[in-house]
Amino acid sequence: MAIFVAKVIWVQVITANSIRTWAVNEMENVATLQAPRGTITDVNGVALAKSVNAINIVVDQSAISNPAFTAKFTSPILGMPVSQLQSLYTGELKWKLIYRNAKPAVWSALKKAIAEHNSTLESKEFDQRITAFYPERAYIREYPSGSLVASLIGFVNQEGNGATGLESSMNSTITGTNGKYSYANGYGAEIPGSKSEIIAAKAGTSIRLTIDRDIQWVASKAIAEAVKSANASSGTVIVMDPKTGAILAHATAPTFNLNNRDSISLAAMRNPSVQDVYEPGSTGKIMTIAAALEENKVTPTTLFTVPDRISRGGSLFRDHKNHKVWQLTTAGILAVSSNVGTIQIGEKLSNSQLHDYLSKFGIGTSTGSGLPGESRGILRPISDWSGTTAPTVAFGQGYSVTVMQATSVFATIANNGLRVSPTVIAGTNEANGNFTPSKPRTSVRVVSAETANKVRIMMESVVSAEGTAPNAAIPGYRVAGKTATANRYNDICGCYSGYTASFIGFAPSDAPKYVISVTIQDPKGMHYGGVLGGPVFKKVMSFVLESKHIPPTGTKIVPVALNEKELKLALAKAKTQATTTTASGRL
Amino acid sequence: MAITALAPAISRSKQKVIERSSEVALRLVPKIDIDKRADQKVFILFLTCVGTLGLVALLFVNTLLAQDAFKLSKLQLEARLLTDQREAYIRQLDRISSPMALAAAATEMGMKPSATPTFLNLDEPLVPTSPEVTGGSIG
Repeated sequence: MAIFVAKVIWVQVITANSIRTWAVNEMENVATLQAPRGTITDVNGVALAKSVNAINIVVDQSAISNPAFTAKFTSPILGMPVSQLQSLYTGELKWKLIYRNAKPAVWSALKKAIAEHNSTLESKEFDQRITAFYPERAYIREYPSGSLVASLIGFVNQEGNGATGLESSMNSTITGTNGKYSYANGYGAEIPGSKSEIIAAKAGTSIRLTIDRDIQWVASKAIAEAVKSANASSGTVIVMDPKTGAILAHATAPTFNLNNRDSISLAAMRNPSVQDVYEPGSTGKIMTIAAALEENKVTPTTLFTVPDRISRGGSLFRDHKNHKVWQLTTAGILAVSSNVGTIQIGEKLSNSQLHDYLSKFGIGTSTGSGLPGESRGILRPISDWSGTTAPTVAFGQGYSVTVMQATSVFATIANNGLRVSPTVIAGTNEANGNFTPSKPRTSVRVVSAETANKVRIMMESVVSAEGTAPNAAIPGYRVAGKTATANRYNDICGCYSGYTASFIGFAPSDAPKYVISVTIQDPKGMHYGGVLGGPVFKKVMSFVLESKHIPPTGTKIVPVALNEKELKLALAKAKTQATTTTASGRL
Repeated sequence: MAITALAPAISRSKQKVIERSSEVALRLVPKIDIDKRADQKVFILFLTCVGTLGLVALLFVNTLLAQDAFKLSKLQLEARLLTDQREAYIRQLDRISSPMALAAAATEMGMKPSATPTFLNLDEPLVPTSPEVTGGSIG
């Protein structure tokens, strides 16, 4: 009795703590509670990337008595070859992963098939039971929209961390915080009811983009068709709100399916709108003309004598087609996209003025979009300019831009001369549902509102019958834009080879709501920006105007004289009207 | 006179009471011979019964506590299955409501995408006219 009492005191009092610790170590295990990544949605809350439940199927190899039979039984359910499964089932490991990230439906089917098989066995066939399969819950990343916004969204690697695109650049925001829980270990299995949460898992922050899924789809379809029909190497469409910098669509072709990345090349994973640079060509003329107007060097009706070629700095510069000498106004030079005329306008400015305005328009600097891998483009410093640089730069060659930068230039003109940095992030959603909008974007005054208005009016002539993109016109709406067919620099040969065809425009031109840029790289055969880019612009802008319920402004276009003849007619008309008014006043 | 005649009888009965009382008092302690030991069987049986009852009671309490744990585990499993089902339905819904699926369904119904937007101003008479191209100069 005394011994009994002494033992009790020894166990329950003296060594109680150490025995308790020993028991915990033997029986209690700590496991990780995986936290899901935040969702990436479009502006209307439609999920573009989300974490869903998945199951890693593991087996206890030592409990599989007949690997061959088990492999044959499970092969059709798991969709894996019998031979592969048999080698996975053979061995003495207590834990062997055989299927990563299975859909819950696959696990349910497997569990049901095993239960049905086991229930048909008689008691003497106990050794034929299949018992060694266990689920481990995990989260996988799913992209419901497939290839729709692939290069922008990006994807995660096998460890669940962002590898490309926004999944990578916003990784720290989207990633959740894993939790921990403890459970009592009963001979290899978790004892029901013994789970106790030590640290709760915290889901990642969700991100709402400015992308509109429907507009994105229309843009993606349009550019894919254009790239295919032009046999081009790639194409991009960007739809932007010039006032806020919000990107409503960011479509690239070719693209890839985020849910099936097995055979994707590294090149396809790039985001060409910010990572690839090209010489913009005639869309760059907008900056030269805007600078000259801002500096009061020209007006929209300043007359120029424009031959089809001009010699500067020892080089001969030509227009895109031979013609006799034209008498064109500034507006006319823009309408027919004359290189020679634009050089003449550019010569009204000093080199440093031209360079400064290009810098103010954002050339050679990051747009501030925050997209990963964004290039600044190339704008050589003044000190590196030779005798041919200024004329080349004036008509849009000799410097490089990204599609995003080019779109931003036109957005500046559309936004009355204010350049707003683009963004794809509308805000963030915490796990508790609170939405925090992004801060308003920074803006920089580039040209005055008056200059921007003059440029917009001149750009309307580009989509007229006399312009280079009549197929971009949208009946009932005032549309303004500019075409470009630029020589394309080829890295492989170190020479110019092929073209970049583009059209950038906005509507309604007297109160622009949206800017759309269409850029097609290296089209074969027909390669003009107006022919290839105009129809894509029209298709996408028509949808945007409809879906956003943008009415026509109802104002009539005020035509600007494009050549000497029209100018004389306009002056005569103005004089007649002035005389009539004076006479009426006297009477 | 009768009472005093009873005195000897009373003394004798008093003596008998004293003897009997001492016998009874002595009988509280069982008659045990000096060379015999007390019976342990009852004590052991008593302890065994107490121990058994205690274990049974402990088992009963533990069973009651564990009963809800099994129910909780079962409900958690059900919740997981329902979550899986919900995600499967959401996946189906995403597929059906995608722009591609809607466009295909619209095409099957014979609808065509509009080539140009037509804005109807309800303040004006709703007589459809051909929209005019307003871009371009009159030169």
